[in-house]
Amino acid sequence: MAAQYDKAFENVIRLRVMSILMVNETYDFNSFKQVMEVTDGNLATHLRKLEEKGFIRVSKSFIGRKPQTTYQASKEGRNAFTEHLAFLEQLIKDNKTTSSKL
Amino acid sequence: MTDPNEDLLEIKSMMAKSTRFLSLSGSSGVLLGIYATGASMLAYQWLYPEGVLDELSNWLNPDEIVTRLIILASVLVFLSLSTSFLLSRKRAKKNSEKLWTPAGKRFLSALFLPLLVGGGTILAQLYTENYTLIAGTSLIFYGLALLNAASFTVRSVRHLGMVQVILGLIAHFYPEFSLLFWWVGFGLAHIVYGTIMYLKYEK
Repeated sequence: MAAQYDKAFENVIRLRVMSILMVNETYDFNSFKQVMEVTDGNLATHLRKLEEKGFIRVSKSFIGRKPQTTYQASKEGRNAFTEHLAFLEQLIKDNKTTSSKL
Repeated sequence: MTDPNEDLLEIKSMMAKSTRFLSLSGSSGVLLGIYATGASMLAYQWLYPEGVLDELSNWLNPDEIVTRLIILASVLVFLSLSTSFLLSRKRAKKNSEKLWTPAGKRFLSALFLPLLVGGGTILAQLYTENYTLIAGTSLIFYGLALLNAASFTVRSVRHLGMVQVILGLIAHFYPEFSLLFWWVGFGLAHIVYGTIMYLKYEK
């Protein structure tokens, strides 16, 4: 797996959304809001960006009469996140070896 | 570009927050242990008025004692549940986290499934008058509930679960001492575990 910095995860909200979707099969809008403490508009913008990139899949349903939107990480999203994570880890490792050489 | 260390911490914290219920409070463990100790002392006085631990035949009026024990157990369950709920809510507020998250729901359903089956088993034991098995059964099912729920909360809860299961098994072998084992599990173990948790995470 290539280690690669992904601009999509530069923003902390998108990073958080993907972190949550890596360990939860599905997650709904309100729960994102609760765990991350963000405003509706802010969250919606970043979710749409991730959806446009094809990193997450969106499904809408109704619980009684209340609409509910749930999100799921796509295969591309999982791969991109894993590569991004590998990049971060590599970066930290490199920093450590350079600083120990100094 | 942001600091990679910070990003990694952010990822870890989100993964933990979104999957684990972290608002369990050590002080509620201690309080539960104290309630259970009080209940054990009352039950001991009712069951062994002469102060002898192995002579269950000393029961003055078995029916009345059974009724009293059922009421005592119900009060204990109510007190324990409401204490845990209130203190968890307080802790969640303090850490500015929400109580009713998907992780919290998963934790509760993992916890309550074995507890409900255990409750049904105990009802059957009451119905068939197998009173001496009840203490051991409640320990076993409570322990299994904790083991089941441990993956959705602080991992160390599984140690408490194992202690309860083992005590419950021993209590089945020595039903005449089951009140003692019940106190060690619900009383002593809760106080010890709650204190450790409090010192580790809340001080």
